[in-house]
This record gives sequence, structure tokens and C-alpha cells, in this order.
Amino acid sequence: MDNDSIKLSDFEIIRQVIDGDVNAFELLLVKYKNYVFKVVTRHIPYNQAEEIAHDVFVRAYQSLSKFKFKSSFKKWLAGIAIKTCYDFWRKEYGSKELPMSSLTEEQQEQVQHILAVQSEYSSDQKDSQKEARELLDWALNRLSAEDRMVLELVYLEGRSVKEAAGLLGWSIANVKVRSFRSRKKLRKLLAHLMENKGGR
Amino acid sequence: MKVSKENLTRIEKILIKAYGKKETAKRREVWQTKVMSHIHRLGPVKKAKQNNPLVFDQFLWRLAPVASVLILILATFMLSLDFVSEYEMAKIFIDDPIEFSLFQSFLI
Repeated sequence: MDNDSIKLSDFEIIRQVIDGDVNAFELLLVKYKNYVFKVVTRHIPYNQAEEIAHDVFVRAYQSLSKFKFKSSFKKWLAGIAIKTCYDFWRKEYGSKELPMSSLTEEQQEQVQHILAVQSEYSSDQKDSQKEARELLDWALNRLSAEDRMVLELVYLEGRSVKEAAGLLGWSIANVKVRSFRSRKKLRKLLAHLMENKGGR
Repeated sequence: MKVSKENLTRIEKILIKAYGKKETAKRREVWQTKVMSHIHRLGPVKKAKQNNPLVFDQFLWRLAPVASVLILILATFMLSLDFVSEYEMAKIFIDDPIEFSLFQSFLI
């Protein structure tokens, strides 16, 4: 792949691919692989990232003829990446919510430790970050695929409702309602976890 | 024990921070080759389907006002010719068209 070909605009590359030049798709792959990995890693476990990113590019290639040259390719690709992550979670736990009763003592200890460590600077903070991430994963795993995606996009990533709706292909009203409910569920999970520990 | 709102907000903030610090996954060298070989197996993108809706989308709304004006003109024209057309139709089927029209009006 020479450097000059990378300077072609996305639209020109897409035109080439649509006109039958399959190899031109590699230009898009090279240009956006880091971006897709960044998006995917936020929503999917590390060990699944390669496979999901692979699916994202295959889906993008298959839908390239539907690409309207009105929006940017990057934005369009982000939408495909988010939908692929959402499909991963739907497949993973079939939109079933797990009961809140399955709290382990380890997680309850974690909450207390995270709160204690984060309150002041300590060398333990890196471990605490890891624990916080594990705790968040535990809580997210107890939400449905829909709630999980909305919570991550709106609440954890700080995207606007409109932006999240565009990425997921849902209505704004749906995202609004879902984001409110999913946050409430997360708070309930955390409160339950902390109550159990406190009550001992 | 009831959890304080303050503690809950604190733990939430910590979780948001932890989420933001997640590192991007590393990929193997062969990953790109694998994706491209998959793409090659799929063959060229089918473009026949995408052009028609695109052209249709572009011109549909531009033609809408012209179509509306045409419909309006035709409707006015048809209304003004309404009696004549009924008369002409009756003329084809019966001998005395005026009688036929009156007969129809009374029946309805």
C-alpha cells in the first residue's frame, strides 16, 4: 500500500470499492483500524476485541453500497461498531437480566476498598482502578444488552442522547427512557452491594 | 444499613473514571491480513441495488411540487368536463343519452 493512496478521500476510496476494486477497502481498514479498536475495546472484553473489530469491517464492507455520502464515513463506521458490540452482548446473555442476589463477598469487599483508597492519594490507587473496573463489569453484566449499551454511551462516555440514538439506530425517546432506567438500575445494584456489606 | 446518597455518587464517579481509563486492546500482526482475506472471499460489492434508491431519493422531492400542480390542473379540468364526459359515456351505450342521465340522477 503506497503512501499516496492513503491521501485519497474516504469518498473516493468508497467509490473505488463500489466500482469493484476490493483491494481499495484496505485503505479504509488501515485508516480506521485504530479507531474501531478504540470504540470496540470500550464495550467488549479485551479477548473479544479482535474478533468484533473483524466483524465491524466485514459488516461495513457488506453495507458499503448503502452508505450515503451525506455523513462522514468515520461516523457511519462508529455506528456499525456500536451495533456490532450490542449484538455481541445480545448473543452473550440473550437480553436476560441476572438477579441482584448473586453478590459475592469479594465484590462487597471491593466496594469498601475502592471507597477507602479513592478518598485520599495512595500507591494503592492503580490496583483500586482495576478493582473499580472489575466492579463496573460485574454491575454491567447484570443489565440487559440494551441497558448496558445505553448506560455506557450516555452515562459512562458522556455522549448526548441524540448521538447515542444515532449510533444505536434507536429513537431519541427510547434512549432517554433507557438511559434513565439503566442508571437507576446501576445505582440500585451499587446500593444493594454497599447495604449488604454495611449490614454485616 | 441505608447507603448515603453521597457515597453512592462517589462510587459512581470512581466507576466512570475507571471506565474512561480502559486501555485499547492490542491486535496481532495477522489481524489485518485475516480481515482482507475475508473481504476477498466475499467478492466485489454489489452496486446495482444502491444506485436506484439513491437516484430515486434525490429526485423524488424535487418532482413533488410539479406533480402537485399537475394534479391540481387535471382535477380542475376534469371537474369542468364532468357533465360532458358522463354524457359521452351514456351516448356510447344507449340511444337517448339525455333521458339516461336524468334517469340515473333520479335513481341515485
